Amino acid sequence: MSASSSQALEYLEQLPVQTHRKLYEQPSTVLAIFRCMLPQMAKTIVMAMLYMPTPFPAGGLDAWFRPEATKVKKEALYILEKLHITVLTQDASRQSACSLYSGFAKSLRQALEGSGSHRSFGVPSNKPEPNKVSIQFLDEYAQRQWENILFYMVGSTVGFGSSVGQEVGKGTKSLLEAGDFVRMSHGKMNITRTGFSFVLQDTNAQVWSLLIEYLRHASQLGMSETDVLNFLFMLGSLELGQDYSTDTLSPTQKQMLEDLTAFGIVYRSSKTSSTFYPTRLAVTLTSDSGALSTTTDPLATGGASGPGLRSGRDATATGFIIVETNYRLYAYTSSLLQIAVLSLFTHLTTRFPNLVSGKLTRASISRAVRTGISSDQIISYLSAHCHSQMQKTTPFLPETVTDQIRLWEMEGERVVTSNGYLMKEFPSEKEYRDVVRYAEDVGVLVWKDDANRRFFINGIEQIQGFLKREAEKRKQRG
Amino acid sequence: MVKAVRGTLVKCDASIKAMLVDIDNRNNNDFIIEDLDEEHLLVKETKVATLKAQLNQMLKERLKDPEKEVSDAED
Amino acid sequence: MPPKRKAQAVAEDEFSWDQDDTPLEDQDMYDELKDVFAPAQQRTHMRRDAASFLFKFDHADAVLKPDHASRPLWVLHNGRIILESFSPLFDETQDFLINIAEPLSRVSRMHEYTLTNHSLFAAVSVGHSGKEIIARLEKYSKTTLNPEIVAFIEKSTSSFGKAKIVLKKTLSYIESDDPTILRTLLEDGIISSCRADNSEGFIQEAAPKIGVMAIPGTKLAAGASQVAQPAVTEPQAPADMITALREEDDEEEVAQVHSFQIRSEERETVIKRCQALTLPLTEEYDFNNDENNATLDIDLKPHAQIRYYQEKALSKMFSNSRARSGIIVLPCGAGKTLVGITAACGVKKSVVVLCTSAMSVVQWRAEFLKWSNISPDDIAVFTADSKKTFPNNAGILISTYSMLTTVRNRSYDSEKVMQFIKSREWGLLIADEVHVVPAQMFKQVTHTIASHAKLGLTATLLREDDKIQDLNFLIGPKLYEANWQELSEQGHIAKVQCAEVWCQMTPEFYAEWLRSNTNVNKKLLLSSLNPRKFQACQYLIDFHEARGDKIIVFSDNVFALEKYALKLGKAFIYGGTPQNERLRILENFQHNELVNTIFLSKIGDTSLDLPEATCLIQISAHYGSRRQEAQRLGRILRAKRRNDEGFNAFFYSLVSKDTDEMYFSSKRQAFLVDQGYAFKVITHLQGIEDRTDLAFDTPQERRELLMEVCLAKDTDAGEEKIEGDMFGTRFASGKTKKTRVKRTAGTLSELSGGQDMAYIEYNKSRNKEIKAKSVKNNFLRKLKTSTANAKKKAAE
Repeated sequence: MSASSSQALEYLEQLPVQTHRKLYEQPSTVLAIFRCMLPQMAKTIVMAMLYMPTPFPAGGLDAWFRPEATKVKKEALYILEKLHITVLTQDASRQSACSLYSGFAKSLRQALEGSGSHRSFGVPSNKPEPNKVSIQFLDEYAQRQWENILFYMVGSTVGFGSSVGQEVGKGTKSLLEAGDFVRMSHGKMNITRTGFSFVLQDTNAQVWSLLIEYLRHASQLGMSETDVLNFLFMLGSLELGQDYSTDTLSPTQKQMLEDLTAFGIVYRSSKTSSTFYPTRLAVTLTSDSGALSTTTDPLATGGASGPGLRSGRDATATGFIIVETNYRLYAYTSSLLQIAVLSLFTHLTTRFPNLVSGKLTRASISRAVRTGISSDQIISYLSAHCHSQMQKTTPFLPETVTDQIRLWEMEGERVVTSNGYLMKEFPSEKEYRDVVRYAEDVGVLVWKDDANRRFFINGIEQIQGFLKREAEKRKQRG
Repeated sequence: MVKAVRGTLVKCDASIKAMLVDIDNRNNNDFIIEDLDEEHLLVKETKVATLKAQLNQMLKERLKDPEKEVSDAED
Repeated sequence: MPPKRKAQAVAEDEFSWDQDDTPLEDQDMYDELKDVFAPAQQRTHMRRDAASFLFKFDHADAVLKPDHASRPLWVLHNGRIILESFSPLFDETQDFLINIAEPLSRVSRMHEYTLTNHSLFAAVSVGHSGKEIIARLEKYSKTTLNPEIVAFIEKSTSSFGKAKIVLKKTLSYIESDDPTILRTLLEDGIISSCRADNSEGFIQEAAPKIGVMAIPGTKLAAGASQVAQPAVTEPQAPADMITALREEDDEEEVAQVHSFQIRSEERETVIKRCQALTLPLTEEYDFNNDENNATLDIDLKPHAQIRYYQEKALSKMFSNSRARSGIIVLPCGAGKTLVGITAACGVKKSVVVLCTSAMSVVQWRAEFLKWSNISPDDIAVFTADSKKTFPNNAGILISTYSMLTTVRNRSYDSEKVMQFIKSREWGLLIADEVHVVPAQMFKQVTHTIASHAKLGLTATLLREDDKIQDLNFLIGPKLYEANWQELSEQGHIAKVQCAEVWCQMTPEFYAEWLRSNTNVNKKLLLSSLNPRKFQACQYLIDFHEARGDKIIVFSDNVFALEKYALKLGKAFIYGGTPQNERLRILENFQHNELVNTIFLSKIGDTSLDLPEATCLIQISAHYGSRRQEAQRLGRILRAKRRNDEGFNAFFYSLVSKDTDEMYFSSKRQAFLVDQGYAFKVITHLQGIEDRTDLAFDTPQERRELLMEVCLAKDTDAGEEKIEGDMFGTRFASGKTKKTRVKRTAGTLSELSGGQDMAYIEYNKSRNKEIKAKSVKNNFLRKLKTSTANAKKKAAE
């Protein structure tokens, strides 16, 4: 399971049992969950139980595992239960037994056997397409659409002017705001810490983050959550370069097509077209390998792109950033998106067709920190994209530079405050120590000064109770 | 008898503490309830925001402006 | 009256550096010149996109060459050059760039240079043509060179270095390979009125071959049987790259040079006038054909071996068998003195060496005797203590800038020496630490000393004002600047770990600091004597002494210096320490196992040769002076132990947090950071909180210290005024006028917790403290008595 689909799994886990059951009606969804959401051990358990005619005694399950594998077993069973894939029942002899949820099992069998007439794996269009588009076209399209979204988030923050975000739809913009990726303040749009984390992720994880936000708001838009999820899982099973018919889609799913087109996940020749193409962003959603490997990352290798977004040909998977101990930064890129990201925390001064350069300064870092970007995020972005020349040393980045970035961040936080109560004037050392220990145990102690018998707590209730009890004890004793 | 004093604990560098004490002095000692040690103060909860604002003002006035180094740092 | 005479002697040696460095009378002209040759600041035509506003220098529309990946550099329209150090072409590109451009930063992977009119001037004067510079830059550049920079190079090279002023048989000639340039000059009324020969045409002769002069101490010299023989010979081997570069031009017919003679007394006028006409003259000395001045019998001793970078630097100076005036920049410890001595051995005429202090005069003399075969009689030393001339026709005279420029009354002896200096012609003037000399003063020096060639030596061609540019006109262009990182990797200078230690101010010190808002001196003193800083210093001294290091602690402030040194029982030297006592302390530091730490005021910044020192701690410094920081680092670069396996020298800068020191500290480090030194910030010294033996451990002690600081006289708190102090406040603060701040009364009563103590009682206790201090060994006791005596004398 990849890191990027873990977000999707987290989302799935918190859905109620009814939604799960409805989702499992679709063989494509079941196959996708089975393939890319479940850990290896859970897959094995499911496969073993798939064709069992009767529930399996829970005690027997233990026999399958070596004693030292308990942790793996627990993990697998926990997920299966959370997703309501396995069901625990009690048989006549009050023995607990385990079985697969019948709907899940049925759909999975259909998916594997290719049986049934569910058409959940999409219906390739059989109409001859006069303007069939190439895979390269789809890649460029997907890259442009997706980069536009990222560029909108970063570019507006950096101040790239009014033209930024013209290509991004209203729906997408409000979705980004709803997900707190961006925030309006004083009439200006700024990226948030969440938004910056989003930008720093690999493309596949970014797509899932945005889609999960989309799911959260689907119901508000009058869409069926199950339909949305089913459609997304179906997309993952489609083939790149093939066009598919929209005839079998539900009303919700037809509505989704428009939004997914805006994200660059699907392509349609027109809004009324009866077919659609999934792009690479779609077909890799549930691929077994999870995230796109960087070399196939459309953002890194895409060919020519829109006039506004010249993709950096030099920005290869090997990294493109050089940071020197004099805080100068050199980045081999021409991508406006990468330039915008760098300018969030770098004082850029110089640009050539294949290089930008500038300096990490106290002012540029504290500006980023004020925006909500953390020093750790900056450092991890820089080291993730270090030029191969930087990768000859460990750590890649000069330590003095990373230290300094952290120190600059700390300069912004000169005082730490906590509200609560100062406890003082304890009559005896013993009483002081008892109460202090209690405060520490219940986790309310913030600061203490043993010499003067005083301490600070951020919660008073428990301490009051404790003091009362102690006082009563003393009274009883006394 | 044990006493509980409601307030905000402020943890900071000794120099910042000196600034806070200075601000308090110039405001009729209306902010600080108790001076705890080199790096801790007990402050009135209601005054924390004002105190922070005045501190930032003071930092800006009293320490050399860090922004200035950028302007002439580049060629 | 011996005492009085002594006082006078000291006064003569000293120089009031407080006078404003008033602009030269022709400052306007210099400024004008600077403007004429400034590269384009704004690009006029360019394509813009959404990101353009981010970039001060946007070259996104430059044409990227198809094979850009295999080319090593980019050139900005304003002359800045970015160079990839990992390119296969790096070595040859670097050698080329150091000839034509000024290095800005040479850290590790990316180096930056800048083309200036002066760097191009230097390039032309060592034989590069504008055409060749453009062609080679085009070859190395990833993008097509933009027209602005091509125009700038053409303009600069066409006007600079086209005409030379040469002394031939002590007569001055203006010389050029292009007669039209001479005609242009003569169209000017002033220049033509200075012409000595009244013939119509020009003197024409074959240009001297760009020969390879055998630089003493190199392999080439070892091969030649007689080093003294005239150096105008056919190239024996392509020893330096300039020769190699010139190969392309060899096919041209034999070059001719044209010249006309000017009246020697009008030299200065002509030089100035040519600068105004934007045709500055290069100054060269044909010493081989100078029969008027006696030849000095001087050669390097066989054991003196010149390192490759010293050879590179010297080959720039002597590339066509004449001595060219200019500046050579080498880090401290990289052998500047030997470069100067070798140059003297090359010229073999009388030489004047000017230093910043009497102490370095002594060191220069010793170095001359160590590296060359010069007879001790031929070296004269002209300082407050020794006023000698040399007996023979040729010799070497070593003195200080202040001795030569002092405006006060001279003693009879020194007046005699001055007359001696003024009356003769000198082959070479060596100006040590040339960056510290105010332009006005240097001008006076060049008027006083009639020298054919001038060689400026320095470690850091840096000043916080832009007066450094004036040196280009007064001495000559920068001929060479070494790469610190390269020298350190090759073991020529020590590897240094740099750290900035952040010391919290204690609340009582900081409260006082806040109160002293307008009293700059007091704020400085409070930051320097911050008890936490004191403890950090003590901690570091203990730590490094235990490791076997020899430590120098620097403090600009004498009050703090004394306080630290007495409290910690260490020896200290400042401006008021008598010469013999200084030498005694330094000797002990070098040879006595019990003396491992010394405290130095800023008199130790330059010219002190202490190869034993391996650790340096700086507790107070001069504002944001990048030069001082580099000079101080230089004190440990020549560490004797530098080639030991895994050896590192240490440089600590102690900074009081939330004071101006923080701000100045980053400014100070700027130059070193661009040379590749990384300053690690240390916010906490491991285990310091567990130490109970550190000074000022109790609040009571800290309060007492605070009171001493508050009671310190304003003069104590201020800058040290000493001989050879060239770090005037005016440079670093960026202001020309020093703001004198009066100490405010009433600070004492405001002292928290100090109200109960009376002033007089306090004053007494301080005296007592100093006297009561137990002095551990003989050496320190002697030191203390003599310091006290010196003070008494000074008081009388």
